[in-house]
This record gives sequence, C-alpha cells and structure tokens, in this order.
Amino acid sequence: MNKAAYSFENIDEENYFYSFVSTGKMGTIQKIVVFQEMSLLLYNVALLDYNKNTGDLSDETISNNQDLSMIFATIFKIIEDFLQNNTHFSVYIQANSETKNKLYNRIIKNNLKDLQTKYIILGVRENKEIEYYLPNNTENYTAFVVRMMEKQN
Amino acid sequence: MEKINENKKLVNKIKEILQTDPKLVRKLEDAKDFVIKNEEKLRTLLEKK
Repeated sequence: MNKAAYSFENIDEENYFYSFVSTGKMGTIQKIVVFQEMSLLLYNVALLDYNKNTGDLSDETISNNQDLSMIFATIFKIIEDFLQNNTHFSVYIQANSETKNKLYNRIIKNNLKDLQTKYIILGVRENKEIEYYLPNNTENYTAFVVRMMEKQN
Repeated sequence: MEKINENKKLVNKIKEILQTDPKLVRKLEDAKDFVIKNEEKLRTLLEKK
C-alpha cells in the first residue's frame, strides 16, 4: 500500500491506541484507531472521531471531510504497523456501515497483489462462511481477518 | 508536557467509551461471539500458510 496517508502516532502502546489528524473540506478532525483484544490473539479494529470541543468520541460520525481515501490508507498503514510490531496477532476488520464496508472491500481488492505478499487475508461472507480472500468473489465480504505471513527462511 | 497530559486524558476517555458506549460494546461482543463460534476454522486457516 503506497498510497498517500496521514502521519500517525501510537498514543498508548499498552492499549494499542493510535491517532492521526484528517485535514479536509470541513477542517481538521482527530481520528483514533483502537485495537481491542477478542480471543485467539485476534484484535478488533475500530475507528473513532474525537471532537476536542465537545469531548465526544464516536464511531458513527460522518465527518464529510472529502479525504476518505487518505483516511483509509492511513488506517491500513496503522494496521500494518500494529501487525509488524505484533507478528503473532491477527486483526478483525468489520465496517459499521455499508459505505465503509464497500471501501474496505475495494481497497483490499485494489491492493491485493501487494497485500498478499505479506499477509494472510480471510474474508467473511454474508452467510458467515470464512474463506481465504477470493478476488473474484462477486459479493462484498462483510469482514476480514488479516495476519502477517510467517517469514520464509 | 501539555501534549503528554492531553494524550493521557484522551487515552482515559477512549478506555471509558470503549467500556460504556452500548453500540461499541455490542459490536465487540458480536464480533467476539462470531470468533468464538468459528475459533477452530479461524485457527486452521490462519496457521495453514
């Protein structure tokens, strides 16, 4: 993934909280990416918007900052950073809206060649079936599980 | 220093919201439930390569 992305910082290593600032049509918006432990060394990833003025944190804000591709490129860079620092962990990615889900599907499909050299990617179908990601799958996956491949000697 | 304190406050806020926001809590619980039900399959697929 060599797309333009925002710079980010790990604001809490113990809890795997990351932060970056989206800059666009509506101004600057602080974004928070969190990794929450589930099981099996598997972490759920969530994106939150932080409103400094009100103190609100929400995963449902529609910021309309016209920089979605930059935001998603940054999220993938953060996931990459998380997995590189925790090579035995996997990440569970599930969007909280149809629009975001389509974007995740599109980004993974468009960057598959690059991603598959480094990661094992699983897709979860609508019927909850789990399989290795298939680029020619006609339906969008509803979630993904991503893990670094073991390094070959 | 100010930035460190600001980050600390933010981290505490994030921890709080992750534990108390009903939608975020439910989303994580649903995801956990799915993972537990499919634990064996996930383990097999993730360890195969």
